[in-house]
Amino acid sequence: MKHSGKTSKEILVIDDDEDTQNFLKKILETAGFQYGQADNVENGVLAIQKQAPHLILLDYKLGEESGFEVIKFLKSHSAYSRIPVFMISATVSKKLVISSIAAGANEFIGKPLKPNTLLQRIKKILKQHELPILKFKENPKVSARSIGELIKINEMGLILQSSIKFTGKSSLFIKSDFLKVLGASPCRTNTAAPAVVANPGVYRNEVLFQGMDEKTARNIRNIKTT
Amino acid sequence: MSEKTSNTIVNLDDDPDFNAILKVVLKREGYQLFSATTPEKFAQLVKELKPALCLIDLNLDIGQGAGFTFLQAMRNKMGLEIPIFIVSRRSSREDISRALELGANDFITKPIDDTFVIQKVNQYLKNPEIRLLPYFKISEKDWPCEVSFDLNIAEVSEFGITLIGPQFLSKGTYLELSGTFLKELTGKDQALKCTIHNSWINEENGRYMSFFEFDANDNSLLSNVRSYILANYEEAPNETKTE
Repeated sequence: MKHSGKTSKEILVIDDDEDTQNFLKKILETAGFQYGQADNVENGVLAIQKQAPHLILLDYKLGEESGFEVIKFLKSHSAYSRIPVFMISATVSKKLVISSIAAGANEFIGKPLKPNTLLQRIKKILKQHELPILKFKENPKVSARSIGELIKINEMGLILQSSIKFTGKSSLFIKSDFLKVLGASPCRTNTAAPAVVANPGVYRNEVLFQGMDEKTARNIRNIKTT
Repeated sequence: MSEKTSNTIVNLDDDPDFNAILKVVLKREGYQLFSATTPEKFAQLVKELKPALCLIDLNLDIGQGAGFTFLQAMRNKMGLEIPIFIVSRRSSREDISRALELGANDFITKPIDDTFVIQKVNQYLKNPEIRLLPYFKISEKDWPCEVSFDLNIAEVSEFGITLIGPQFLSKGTYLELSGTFLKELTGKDQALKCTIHNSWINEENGRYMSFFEFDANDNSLLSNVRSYILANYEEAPNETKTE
């Protein structure tokens, strides 16, 4: 479904070099990305699990540890294996590039990092790795609460006005201060007739009480005479 | 609708006096009542007569709470077509809710009020146009109410949720959503507040779909949703597996 595009992509940078972090933070935030950072393998893995970033920029050398450990983690969890990774490194060798890609990195980028090239490659990879849409064999249920207006009432039911057009056989629970006074809040109702359009986007539904007790019905009957 | 006899009603009540009174009340409105004083006889009558509606007394003299069990069994046996009313001296909220959840369509308390019973029966068996009571206008200050109902989720993306259901939610409808699935998806206990972005009809199945966006500033919500999608997405069989 078309969305407004307001959500920004989140990029996680795992690098123990403070200068690189500051540099990238500035570039990426200016470009409109959400910036996340970690300085070693353990913190990197924690950040991945917490933030579920759209892209990871991973330094090959993290102090004594290797960036490959992070890739290993990603590839061993089917959930995270989809997240694209750029391996970044001050040392550029053919061997390193090949082994990075073989291990599972999507791209290899040598330092010093060139902002424009980097951003271009980032935008390209993000487009290629859109997060999938989750569909369901059995649609999960949710309880919804909305507001409406009770226009009319009798012992059998109510006329409900709202921005929702209820069709078919819908079961609704209705709560209101007015009903509370009658001893009828919350009440369980069923839609009785097709909705009527009161105004564009405003509908009136007739709903009938289900399981209303005699005492409350009498209270309603008595409203008429006051 | 099918082979139902539209004015035949069957009831189960072990009080023959009550059955006699009910018969007279219903006859006035043109309904024919057949009564059973035992569950076995009731089942037999339902099978033979295929009534348009049934009334079952919950306080049967066959043990505490047995009425509920019987109701459930009858509902399973009869399917969802025939309306069932529960008749009972007990009328606590819990009893009523429980009966409705187990398959009853409505609930009538004893001693019965003639007009009330007729209204209820007519509601289910006669045309909506000939319902008897006029509606009474509520004053505007008393209008505001809260409505709760169920919806289903068709799709979840990292940007928002697509809902599906028999209700058409106009653009701008404000909803608070909750439930076990949402709790797992969002990682939060509180209800998810949303405003419907747009709605349309699904051409394939004729149901209404609505979409709303997540709050772009709620980073913890967005990352929880992303984590959920990543963890639960299954490759379709004809896509290449990434193992």
